[in-house]
Order: sequence, then structure tokens, then C-alpha cells
Amino acid sequence: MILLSPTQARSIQWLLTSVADDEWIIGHRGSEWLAETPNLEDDLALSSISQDEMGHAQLLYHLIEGLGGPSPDHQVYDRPIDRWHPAGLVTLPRQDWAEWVTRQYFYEVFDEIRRQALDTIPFPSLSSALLSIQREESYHTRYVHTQIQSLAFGGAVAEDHLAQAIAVDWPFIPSLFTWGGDDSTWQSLQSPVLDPEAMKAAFEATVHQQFVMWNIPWPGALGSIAPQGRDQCHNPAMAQVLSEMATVRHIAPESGW
Amino acid sequence: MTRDMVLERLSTVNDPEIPDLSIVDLGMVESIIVTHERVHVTLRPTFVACPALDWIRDRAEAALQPMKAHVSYDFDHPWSGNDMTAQGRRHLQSFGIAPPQDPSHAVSCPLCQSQDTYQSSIFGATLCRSLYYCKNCQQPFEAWKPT
Repeated sequence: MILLSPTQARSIQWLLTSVADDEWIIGHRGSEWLAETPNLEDDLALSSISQDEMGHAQLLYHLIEGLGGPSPDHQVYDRPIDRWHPAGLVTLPRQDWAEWVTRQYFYEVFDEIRRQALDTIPFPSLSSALLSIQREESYHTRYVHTQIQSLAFGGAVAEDHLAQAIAVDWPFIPSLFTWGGDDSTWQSLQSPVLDPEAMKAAFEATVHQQFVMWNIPWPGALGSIAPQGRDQCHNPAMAQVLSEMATVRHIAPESGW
Repeated sequence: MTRDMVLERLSTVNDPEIPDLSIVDLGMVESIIVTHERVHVTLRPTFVACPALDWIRDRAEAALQPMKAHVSYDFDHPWSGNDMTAQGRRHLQSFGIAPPQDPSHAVSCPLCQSQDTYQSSIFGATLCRSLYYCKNCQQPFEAWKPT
């Protein structure tokens, strides 16, 4: 059994909070599309995907609790907005369907790279959680690939929507690569793949290769990674998500899940 | 109470959406520890976000009464389709859901056993199922997702 130092345990809490917050918020954003998607299959897909993402977040919040952090219920219902650390990209409000498909694609590409990076941390409960999560995420990846290809090969109107969606998301992509806390959090875990710049390079390589394959014009180099990028998502859209999410909890604080 | 008696009681707890498919046949029971005053049961969740987990835990604890039972989930050892028993696979099939299969093989239609089938949607009505169509008997059906 590998024992984590107190510094490493604190760092893992920071890292997992970024991941769980992304999963929770993108799951909530996905659920906002239910009954609004273009067809029934997409509705089925989003109900499963969103539920999966929120389940993954819950599992990670449990791991954080095991390392001395707050309870999962506290994390999602009672945490003040300045203690949340999702990437700006996942907080963006619902607009156009093509925008959502594109955002999901970018998020899933990144999330896979991040899972591989997290898997280098010697913490057995995290490795097991990642294994369960990965098995479910492989279905998400298949789905988002079909979706983005249907935009890429769907004719002029679809291509315009796709180009517009990429233009909206591209400036927010660098927000994904940072972890919560300062650089010492991931550095204390001594795994070079956790470096935001390494994840950014892996993301660019994957997306570039797929864009070439799908004939999607390359939008140009990504912007630089802002330090503490995850502390800057405290926008009105995020405030609105948190307030909506906790509505029932505040009406009936004693109710179960 | 013996371990076999505990298993027998747990066999009365079914998946809330699939009649006759017990949590024992599903392969969810990971371990049973019986002491003179308490039973500890550890279950493996099939899918991380399965909304039936709390419901199943409550039913399992109720099924073991009057013994004091503590039922918990182990997220460290993921469930897989191979954990399902042969009887579980038969029950699933007779309910009209194709049991989990090796993804490299065609999925057999649970109604006519034809392998002339295709996936119509990766996702279905619940986290654990996909939608398929059988070109032989021309019926849509569901299949348990292989993991």
C-alpha cells in the first residue's frame, strides 16, 4: 500500500475538485437539453451521458471526502461560488445545438487526456474509479464523434454552424488545462503528464489530427494558459447554474437524492 | 444466519426495472460477512451513476431482517458483464434484453436469436442499455452494454 504524504493528499483533493466540478457542471448543462434535442436518440444519449457525468463527479467528490475534504452534498449544494473551480468552457450557457455538440467533443477529447494523466498518480482508489469511468466514457466518445462528423459532412449550413461553434469555444479551451490551486499542486505529484502545457500539446495534436480527417479548417494556435484559470469562472452564467441546481435543496433541505 | 441463507434472501431483491433478475444473478454481490449479530454485504455497482443503487441497498437490508444488515457499495472493484450468472443472462434474454456480449461479435436478437442485427442508438432508456434492431424479425430490442 502506498501512503500519500499530507501535501500529496491535499494536491489530489485540488486536482479532483477541478475534474469533479467540470463533470458536474457539464452534466448539468447537458441535462438542460433534455426534451430540446433535434431527435429522440440525442435525448436518450444526453440523458445517459449527463447522468454518467454527474455520477462520475459524485464518485470523485467521495474520494475527496475520503482524503479529508467536505461531503459530496456540501460540495454541490452548499459550496459558495468562489470555491467552485470548473473550467470556463463548461460553464457557458446553452445556445445552439451545434455549439453544444462541439463543446461536448472538445470536452471529451480533453477529458480523456486528463484521465490518462491522472492515472499516473499512485492512489489505488483513484485508479479504480478511473477504470469504471473510462468504460462509460468510451460510449460518450463514440457518440460525440458521430455527432461532430454529421456536422462536418452535413453540407454548407451544417459547416457554417460548426465553424461558428468552434469560434465561440476556441478562446475558452485553454481554461480546461489548468488545475485548481497554484502550480505546486500538480508539481508535488511528480508526474510530468499532469503539466497543463503537456495536456495542451496532447489536446492540440489529437484535435488537429481529427480535424484533418474530417476536413474541418484548423482554427489556429490555442491561446496561452492563464494562471489560476479556474478561479475566473465566477460569471453570471455559473451563478445561475448553481442557484438553479440547489433550488429543491433550499426548498426542502432534508430531502434525499 | 449462514452465508447461503444470506444469498437466498438477497436473491429476492430484483433489479427495479427487470423483473426476475436478482442482484445475485446480476453478479452484484461481492462479499458477505456474517457475525453473530450482524451481516455485512458489499455490492458492486453495475454503472457508477445508476440511480437504483440506494433503492437496491434499502431492499437488500430489508430482505435480511430481522438480522441487522449493513449493505454498502464497493467502487474500487468495477462490475463487469462477466459477473452475471448463466441464469441471469437467461432471465435478461427472456425479458427481451440481449445480455452483455463480447463487442467483437454481432449481438443476437433476444426474440429470434438472429445475428442479423444493428445498433440503432448507443444509448437507451437507462444507462446500462443500447438500442438495436433485428433485420430478421424486424423488431427493435435492447441490449445490455458490454463493459
